Amino acid sequence: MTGYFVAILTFVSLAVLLGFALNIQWGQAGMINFGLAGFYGVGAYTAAILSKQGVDGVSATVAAIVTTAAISALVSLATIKLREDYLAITTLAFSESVRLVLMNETWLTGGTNGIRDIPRPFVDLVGGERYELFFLAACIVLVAAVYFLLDSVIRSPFGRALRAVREDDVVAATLGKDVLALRVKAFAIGGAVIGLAGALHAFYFTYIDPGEFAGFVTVYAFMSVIVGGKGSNRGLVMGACTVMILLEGTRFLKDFVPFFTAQQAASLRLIMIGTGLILVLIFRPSGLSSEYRLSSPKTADTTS
Amino acid sequence: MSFIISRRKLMSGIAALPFAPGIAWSQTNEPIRIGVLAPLTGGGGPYGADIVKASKLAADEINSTGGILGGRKIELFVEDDETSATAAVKAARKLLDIDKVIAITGVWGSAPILAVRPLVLEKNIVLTALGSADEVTEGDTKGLVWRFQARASSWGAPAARAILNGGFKKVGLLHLQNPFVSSMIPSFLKTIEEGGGKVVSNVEFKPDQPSYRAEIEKVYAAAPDAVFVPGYVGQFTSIAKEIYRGGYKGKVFSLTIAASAGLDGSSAFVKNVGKEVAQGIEHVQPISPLDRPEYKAFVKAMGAPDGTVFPFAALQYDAINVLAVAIERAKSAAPADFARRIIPLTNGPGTKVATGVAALALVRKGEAIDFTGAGQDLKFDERGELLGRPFLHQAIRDGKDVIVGTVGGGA
Repeated sequence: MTGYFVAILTFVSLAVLLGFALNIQWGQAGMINFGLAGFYGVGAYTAAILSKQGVDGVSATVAAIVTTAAISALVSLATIKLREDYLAITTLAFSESVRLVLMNETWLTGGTNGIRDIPRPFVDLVGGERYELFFLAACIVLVAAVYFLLDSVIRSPFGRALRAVREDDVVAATLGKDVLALRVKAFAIGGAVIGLAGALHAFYFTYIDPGEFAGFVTVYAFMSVIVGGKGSNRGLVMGACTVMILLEGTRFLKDFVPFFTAQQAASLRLIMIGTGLILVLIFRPSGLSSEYRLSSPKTADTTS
Repeated sequence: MSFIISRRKLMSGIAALPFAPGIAWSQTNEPIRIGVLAPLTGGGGPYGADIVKASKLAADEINSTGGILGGRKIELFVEDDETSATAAVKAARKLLDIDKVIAITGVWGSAPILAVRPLVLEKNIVLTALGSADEVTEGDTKGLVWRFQARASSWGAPAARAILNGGFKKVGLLHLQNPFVSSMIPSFLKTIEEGGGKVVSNVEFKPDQPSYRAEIEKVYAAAPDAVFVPGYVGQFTSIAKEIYRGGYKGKVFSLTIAASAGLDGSSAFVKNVGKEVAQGIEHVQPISPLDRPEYKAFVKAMGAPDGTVFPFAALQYDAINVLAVAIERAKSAAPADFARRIIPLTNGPGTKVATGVAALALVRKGEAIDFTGAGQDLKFDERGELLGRPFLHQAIRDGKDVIVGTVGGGA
């Protein structure tokens, strides 16, 4: 019983990290990242390839964070000459390119065979039996750390400038804000968080293949953010939990409808997930929680 | 609360008395919980429903004759692995931690199997897989992993023999890159060379490509007499069409899983590509001998027309039966105990039996048995590898499969 919940909470942690990333990129800076899965793949593969080469887990994770952040910054430069809407297309194309590279550069990524037996960090120290619990604890600590880091970023003047750019970049530029630098930074910060999540994914599953970094990862992350409330990290944690309850809870629900065949039940489960999301959007169109500036109007900077 | 018993109720109660010991026995015994982690949606979707149906068939047969271990019923827990590693891990977690199964069966496809395997081994649970990738039984399996399918590296030689039997010497190879297909390539190349043939081109392709034109041109650049295209039905459908449109000459060989037309021409492949494109394509696959009486009985019990090819369901039916019989023999539902009984049961010597019900009756009497199964005469080696899977060589004529012959089983 506990093993299952430990696993589910680990999945929620990964989903929350991806949601945090989207929340800063899309929620705060207004930059749509439809290629999230691709960045996630970059993080996971960087960590996996390095640890297979004998690099220790922590360094591999740091490398994954740095690589994903750097690539994110590069991709966001596409907005120099394009209207920001085009970032959506650029990121989508990027994620497709990542998938093709992962599938075709067999010498590096193992191609569609994937990478097996990725060494787990600290496994000798912790021991195999308690590893799942240890991993969950590590994930929760990381989620908390990222939450506070991002929270301070969002509340900082930099965060305000980001929201200004999101609402109207011309006004922000007129007021002397370097719009491009702000966007690149925001995208890189988001990328760093995705890289961290990717590395954790690789270590948790110990087996990765290109099929896992497909569009559905992006969709689930957007679902968490939309359900939680765009721009709110606190809401996001609830959003990610709600999505996971929908995804996993339906598994149990189908056990109680015995008159369907197995295949019908499996399809029904997917239908229930979709219906659940639609209901959330109908009854809570702005998500479960709202952005920080609305929820905490009494902070000092409102008077400045 | 009143306790007025009608005469009818009293009579039915008395009538039921002879069965009462059995009822009491089964009520005090927990059911034996077995997980079926099948590909109900996603790439393996076409096979999942039959895999589940076959599992239920085996469990129902055994349960209706009194279950195992003195009246305990087999309870199946079905989960969908969505043919994806991530989804398989979540579903397996539920089976292991919530449903507390003693075995996870029916897992199909290399990625889900390889992703689930470490979890299952950590819990010391039995895993029966329907996937072929060599890696499934490699490394330390603790004697808990059993493959109810031919190992992928054993697929290469029969396929090569089918091509050599046709008199083809210049062979092109156009193969999917994935753990399953990659494993069969070395033995294929070796058998072709040993048989006096030559592989003139060797090209890999990836799943989900919008077009396979570049790969096809590369293979045919060396003018092969025959091309072997192992992959799945989705990719092979596109490739067969593109080969046909390109007007390339030479025989096309594939795997039955991709190119099967069906004995009545009802397969998805023929429907998608049409009779002209399918004409003359030959395919090879480990298959349950269709004329085997035990297999015929299985097909009938599944409610399918005689001659239906079940690439995976028959062996899944056998897997549930083998586990049940092994549990009965071990007198224990502890995975470590009953897993050890599988080889003595399937490899004999003993009375040959093909169904779980028949085998259980003999095992209860303490007799030695040689469990043969519906899918084939089951034999395992100590790595949990299924041995001697027969390979069937078929060709498509007028949109229907025609049997060319068997090309020998091999480990």
